Amino acid sequence: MGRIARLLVFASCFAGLTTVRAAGPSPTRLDWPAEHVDFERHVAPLLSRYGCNVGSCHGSAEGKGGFKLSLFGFDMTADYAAITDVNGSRIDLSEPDLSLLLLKPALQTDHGGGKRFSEDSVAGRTIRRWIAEGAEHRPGSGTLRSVECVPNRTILSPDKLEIRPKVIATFADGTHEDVTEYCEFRSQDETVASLDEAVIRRAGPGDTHVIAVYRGYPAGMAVLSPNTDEATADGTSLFAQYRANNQIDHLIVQKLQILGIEPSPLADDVEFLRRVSLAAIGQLPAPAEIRQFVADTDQDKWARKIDTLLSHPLHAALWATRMCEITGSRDLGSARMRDSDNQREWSWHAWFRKRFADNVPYDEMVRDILCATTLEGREFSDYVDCAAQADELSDDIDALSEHYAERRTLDLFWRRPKVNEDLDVEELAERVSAAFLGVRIECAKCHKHPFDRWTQDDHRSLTNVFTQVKLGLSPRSRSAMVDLLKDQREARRKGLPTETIPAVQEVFISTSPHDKLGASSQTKLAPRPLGAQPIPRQGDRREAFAVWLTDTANPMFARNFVNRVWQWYFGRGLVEPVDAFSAANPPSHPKLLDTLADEFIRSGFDVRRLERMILTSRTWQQSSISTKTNASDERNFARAYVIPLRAESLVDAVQSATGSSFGKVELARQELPAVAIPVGRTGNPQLDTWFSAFQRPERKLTCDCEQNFEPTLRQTMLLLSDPDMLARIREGSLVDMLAQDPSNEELVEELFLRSLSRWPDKRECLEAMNVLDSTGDRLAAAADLLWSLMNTREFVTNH
Amino acid sequence: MQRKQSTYTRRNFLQVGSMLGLSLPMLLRAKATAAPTVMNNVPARNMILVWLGGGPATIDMWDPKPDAPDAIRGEFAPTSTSVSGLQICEHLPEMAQVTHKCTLIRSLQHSIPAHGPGSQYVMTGHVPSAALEYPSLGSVTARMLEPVGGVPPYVTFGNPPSSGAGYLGSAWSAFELDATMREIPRGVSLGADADMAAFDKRVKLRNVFDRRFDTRNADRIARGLDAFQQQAVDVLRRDSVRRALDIESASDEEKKSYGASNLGMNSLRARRLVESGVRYVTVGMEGWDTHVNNFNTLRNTLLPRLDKALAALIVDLDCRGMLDETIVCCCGEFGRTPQINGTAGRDHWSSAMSLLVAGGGFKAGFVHGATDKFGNAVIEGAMSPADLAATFLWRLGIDPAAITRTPSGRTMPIIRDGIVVSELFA
Repeated sequence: MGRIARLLVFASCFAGLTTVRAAGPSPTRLDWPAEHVDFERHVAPLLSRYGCNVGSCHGSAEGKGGFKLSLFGFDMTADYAAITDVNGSRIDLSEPDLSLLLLKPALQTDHGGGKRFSEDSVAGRTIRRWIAEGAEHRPGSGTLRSVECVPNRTILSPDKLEIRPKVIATFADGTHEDVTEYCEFRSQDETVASLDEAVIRRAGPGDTHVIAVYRGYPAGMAVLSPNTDEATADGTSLFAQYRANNQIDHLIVQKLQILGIEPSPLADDVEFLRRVSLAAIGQLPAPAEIRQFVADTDQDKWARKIDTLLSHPLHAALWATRMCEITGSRDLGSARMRDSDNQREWSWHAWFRKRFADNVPYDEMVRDILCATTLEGREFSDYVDCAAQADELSDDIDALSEHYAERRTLDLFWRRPKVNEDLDVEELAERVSAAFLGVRIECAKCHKHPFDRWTQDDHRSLTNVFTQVKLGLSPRSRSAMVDLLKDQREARRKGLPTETIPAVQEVFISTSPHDKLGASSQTKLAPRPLGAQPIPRQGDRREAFAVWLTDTANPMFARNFVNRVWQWYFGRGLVEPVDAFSAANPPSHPKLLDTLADEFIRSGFDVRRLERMILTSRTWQQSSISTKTNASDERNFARAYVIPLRAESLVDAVQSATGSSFGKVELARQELPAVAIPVGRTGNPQLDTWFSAFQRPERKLTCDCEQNFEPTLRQTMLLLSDPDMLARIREGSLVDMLAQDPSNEELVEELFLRSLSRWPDKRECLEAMNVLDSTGDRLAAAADLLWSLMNTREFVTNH
Repeated sequence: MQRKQSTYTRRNFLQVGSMLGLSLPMLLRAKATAAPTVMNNVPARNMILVWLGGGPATIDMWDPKPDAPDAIRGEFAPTSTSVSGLQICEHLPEMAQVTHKCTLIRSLQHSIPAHGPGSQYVMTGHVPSAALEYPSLGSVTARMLEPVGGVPPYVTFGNPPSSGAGYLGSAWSAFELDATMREIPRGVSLGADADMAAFDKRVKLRNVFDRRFDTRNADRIARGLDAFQQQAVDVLRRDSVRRALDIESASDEEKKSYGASNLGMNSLRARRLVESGVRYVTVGMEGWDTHVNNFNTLRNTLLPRLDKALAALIVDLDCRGMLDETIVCCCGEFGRTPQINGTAGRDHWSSAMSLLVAGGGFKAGFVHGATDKFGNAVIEGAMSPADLAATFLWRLGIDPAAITRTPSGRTMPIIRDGIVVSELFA
């Protein structure tokens, strides 16, 4: 904040100035364009702004029309050479106006790309002047330290309908410059903020971001456009009644107040209980539990319920499932090895489940994933004994996975061989980045990231953190294996009993990694985390990386995780999608994100404490029934959003509402709640059909795009037509229920509590009684009622 | 069946715009920048995409190089077709009889020889972006064309890659079916002998109990679910999906003509789905990633199955008078290297590939574009996947330049860089 505020002062002091020098005591006033037109600072950004260097134009591998620029302008030296190539006549120093670099984009001569700008536009004049000044290039002059929008947040009200922000670039030499003219602007929601070149206009109520992109480097500006309807007048009183439970609520309501969006009132007991049970353990509350909870007069019963659920074993199971998705437990690599899918997935799940049950600090858990080796420093012979033990358990998948969960590290994370025993370390680096930083760097594998700061060298330097990771047998283990085999032969010759030595394939750290070269330097790049200093080449580089990652001074690590937890409970992240942290994708509530991250760090990465903070906030506890002004709110958390149930939760809800199970998972000792099923393919056709229709994540990609719980036609059809659903209802616990001969009122109440976790209202009760009265077949009528309740939107969502 | 013909009018465009949640000023600006949109021809109504997952060696299929050296030509000989002067692979004899109904495009090219992103490019017409998931053409079609009702608009067999709805949202995702199904899958039908009166009664009751949720109805998810409920009841009541999938009722002769392979059965189902009003069907077939043993695999399994199913599909649609309104396209994510590798296979090659198109108002008996003498590069009529996508959409009556919005509010033309290749149209 400090730096931005300083910049703001700077910019306002020299309003109208374009070049501001931080170094000099009294900056010189200059007319536009700048003192010198600089290739890297002014000309190259224009090539980006007008789209000259995109893949479909001159940025394509072959260029266009004999003129090739680097894709998104990552290589300014090459671009300068292409522009000034003597055979190209793109530059005419003696007659600048005849330069093709000017004539083509102004369409004064044929140009396949059409007209990009006119000769007397800022762009045209800048380029002309650059040529007139000798078309020079000072390599490195444009190396950036940062780009900021000033201001970085604005409120557009009917009194102030537009704003023209400035974009200030800070270069490596410490100078600042107003680069607004060289930027491309983009509004993330044109119904809130529309753009006319660099002028931002209020288009309607709401809030969004405008992104300015300077030479591919983005800077965001939050645009808040308050609701001006009369409705806000009543709102004032609603805000006055508002009682914040904690810091979350203060930050949420602050923005709601500016926007004129009223928050919904608090949920009632039954709404809260259903929501918190589904969110924390993926289960519907049982009718008895609902009755008990409502009758409880303790003031702290909500907080108590939250604590009970957070320490429930199914809470840990649900977390394990989620972590299996984030870490991609089902991606085996394309060369399948010894581990069968099932063993691997069970073990993976068990490892996480144990940690969440014990509330192991998140940083510790991630360190044990990142620095995993198979031997974990043990002697090879000790490990072989351990592997032999595991082999004996191979028929009992529960025991086997519990055995694995006792390991310190999750070596399975690294076991994804591509061909033979080769690991794709680039992919692993991308996985680590997306899972634990929330940053997707795939783009930078082949070219500079088009709208983020990451370059190919950043990608490769990160990859070099992981190039030591190998799968197979380390040289040390190999010689130990040779000794073991020798002993075995010896023993056999003597006629002594021998045990078979299990096949071992280990994740280990090699001392001779194949490091990636720089994109244009041809020297091996030093291993380096994203946006950080290089780490030493010697030793397990992952350890140095983990130190950097989990350092309390690294904001990315905690922010990524708290955002995921937030998204889990609210259905939407503060940054959305949760694995797309980027300057081009700013958070909806930056201060809240920072606060949550700070709290999380201060608590020693205590996951349960973070969850408690969120669940006890008024924001989370408010009703999903909308107020006049918040019905269309989708990013300010003014009401509880309707969230489709995860596939597993839905299956569990069907199981508990009907009292009839879907049956066992292949290999499992006993029936499991669906949220605790570790495997992707269960081998139970009914379960697999429901899981696939309700889009249970595959757990293969690290991409958050796997987490698609949006409703589909297929799902609704399955619910309506699955013949087993009716059978389940008719043969399930309804039979026992009717055997007790309840009154119609009691029966209706029970059915509502079982399915919708609430009491029926008068009208509903009446309708239901009619159905029961209309027939002598009580079971059929009750089954129809339950079926109907289970097909409502209320049943298939959390709200 | 009543066929609605829609010409591209300003009114239609405005409808499209409001459907996609554009405000009027944005729309007007979008219109100003979009290419002029005049539909002269009757657009096609449907599309069936036969997707060859893994990347077919089209040099061994549609673009033989008989005069190239052994290490390129491969083991197959060319054969003459129903179009004079046009030769295709000898192992596609039935297709050779119907080439006069087809357009061969021998000049598709792109620069992503990797399965995932390559498929994404061809399926969506967009170079993949880590920041935004683009919708498949099937989802775009489902979104943009008026629904027929009582059937899902977009169906896929066998989970082909990148066949999702991307930023359009899951309302437009494919109705996925298992490519290896032997029987009608769970949850698409109430059964042939269902008690419809009882079903209707339960649905009515369900609607009563669902009403209270209308207090949350402003929510996107709640609204989406509501729309699906209506649609699902319609589909189930008409039992359209089961009827189309239930090929037991097809004649033996019909089944025989498509072949007994999954591809054959699913192609037949695809035809029946389109007949019942489905707009876009993707039939996926795996196994084309022939790094090893390319020639035996093609000769013994892949080509005979494809040949039978694809030729039968084209002939069948034609006989039923449906070919003019149905685009059939057969392609994969890329071609394979002209140079044969050390394991008698071919590797990924995206610089030049061929594909086959039939029906939907595409020219018949026509070859578009050409590769050089060894099939390494396109020398004539180059098309990108974006061009291909734009061309198909145009044919379906969808303006590829129409503006859509992503959930984060970004405005986005359906296809950004594609050019409609009108030489392909009859």
